[in-house]
Amino acid sequence: MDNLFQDSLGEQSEHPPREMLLLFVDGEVAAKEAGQLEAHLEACWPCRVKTQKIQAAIADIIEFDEQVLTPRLVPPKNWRNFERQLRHLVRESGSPSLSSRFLGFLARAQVRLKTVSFSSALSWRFITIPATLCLVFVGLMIWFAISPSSNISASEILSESERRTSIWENQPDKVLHWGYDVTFSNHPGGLPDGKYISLHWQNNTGGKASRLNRLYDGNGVLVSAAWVRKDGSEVYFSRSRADEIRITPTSDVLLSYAAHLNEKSRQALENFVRTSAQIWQIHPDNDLQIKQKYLNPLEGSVQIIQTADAGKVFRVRSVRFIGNDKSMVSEEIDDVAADSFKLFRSHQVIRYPDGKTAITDSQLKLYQETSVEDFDAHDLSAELQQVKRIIQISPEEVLKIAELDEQAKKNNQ
Amino acid sequence: MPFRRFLKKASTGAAAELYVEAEALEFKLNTLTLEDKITRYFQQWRDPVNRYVVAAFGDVAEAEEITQEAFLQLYRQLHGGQSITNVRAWVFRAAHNLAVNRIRSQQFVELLDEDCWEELRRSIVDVAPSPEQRVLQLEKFSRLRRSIGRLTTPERQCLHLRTKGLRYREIAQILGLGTSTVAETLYRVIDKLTKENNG
Repeated sequence: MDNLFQDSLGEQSEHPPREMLLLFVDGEVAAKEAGQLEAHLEACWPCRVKTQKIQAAIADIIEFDEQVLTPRLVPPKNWRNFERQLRHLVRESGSPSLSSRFLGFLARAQVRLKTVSFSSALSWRFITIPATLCLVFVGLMIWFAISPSSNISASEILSESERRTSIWENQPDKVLHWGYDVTFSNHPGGLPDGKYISLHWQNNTGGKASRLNRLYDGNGVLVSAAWVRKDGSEVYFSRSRADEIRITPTSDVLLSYAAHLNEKSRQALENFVRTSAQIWQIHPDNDLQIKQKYLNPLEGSVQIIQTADAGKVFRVRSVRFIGNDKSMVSEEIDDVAADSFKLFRSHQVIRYPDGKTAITDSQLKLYQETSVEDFDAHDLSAELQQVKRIIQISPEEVLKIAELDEQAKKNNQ
Repeated sequence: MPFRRFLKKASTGAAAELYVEAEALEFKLNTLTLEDKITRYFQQWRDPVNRYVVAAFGDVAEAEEITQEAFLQLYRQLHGGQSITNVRAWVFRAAHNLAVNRIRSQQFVELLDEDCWEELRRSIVDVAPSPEQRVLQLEKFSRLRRSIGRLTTPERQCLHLRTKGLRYREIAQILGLGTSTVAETLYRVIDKLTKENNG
């Protein structure tokens, strides 16, 4: 039996040492050795009894811990104090304040305006911030007045584009397929810089939508994928964790879990389920309302940029604070076709509080109708068969996210 | 812009704008502010950490502060840009080190003094299903109490860390020992407890 059961004198002994049995019980033995031990235990009564004794001792310890020690330890009442200390520490350790971030942003915006929109003989160094904003405003007014296609505002262009896209994706009983060429640079999720292909499907048959997204790298390798099923559950795959897939509970499971919660938690979770259900329902207006609520570009500034092909293309720049603490600045330049309002190109720069930037370029590559079979052929059933581990995300975990969402909503109001 | 459209349920979500929808959920977890993250870690592990400090060092009064301080240290560490792969083990280690430095009395104060023990006897009598079971359970608990009380400091620390679900390698990191030492120590603990309990 190899050298597995060698005792301290290096002699081969018939039985594994008792220490080894504890390691085995504790799952600390390598797979190969564990197999050998298991085989030995099947055959050997004395060793099996020893193993059972170890397990009985562990059971006693746990019983003692749970019934005697833990109840003696009344959890401190002052945990609440921790959040105060943490907030103090956060302030102390210099997370920039909102106002300083805003001023910093204006300073950067000023520099950009200088390079992009205007050329002026004025020395920008001596212009105060309000004056800058006035100039931008006046400049835009003049631009709207003289521009032949200026009868629509920048934010109207974006929301019209949203509206039409939403209508297209939510066509009843159809299966839609679209995709982008994407370039990531400094991707926050750690994806290597480079070109990617992002493919999407939406299956609207049967009165409810299911959705599928697959992201491939430049070599055609699947990097990540998501599949929102008609029962509301979501399946996530990512190559960096190729041996596991995560699945969220179905809407039904979440709602029945919610029913037993206190009022506040119940509402948070129900809102969460309702919002996702609405997003996946095929009611373009309903869908759009929700999207607009979350995606309102007016949170920041939106403006039209003049391009050589004005009249065919609207180029819209929007700048907003984003993130749940509004600590990041997103600057986005979108090209929208003037006739169809199709958003076909987008360039987004996100600036993080620490000065890092992430850039995403995307170009619409295809949008077409396809078949249910095509959808099914690309869903994650095959991956679900192959992965080693399927992690079910618990309703508790979803509740935590739902509560954070509620919190963020409140903060935004 | 395309990515913004994938963002669902997310008022949080700057994040998802850049992120592929595939990882939106996880991304949301990843893009919590550091403060949110620490708060979540704290809610998740404060009780096990606190119980460990009390059980291993015996000082109830200090334990609460030590536990909180360990999580504040975690904030400082992450805020300073350090990456931590195993946050749970890290927090336990921080708490352990704080306890070693602060709880100078060195005199292990037993969690279960005689008064507590009497109170406990009475409460067990109230819950146990039958008189025989009560007697058996009480005997077992007395034996365990005695033998755990006799463990050496490292033995006690290993035992309580293992009880909180930490693996041998994590315990080794926390206590600054080798993994094989942890295995030997835990084996000794089990050995002592089984012998006491059987004899």
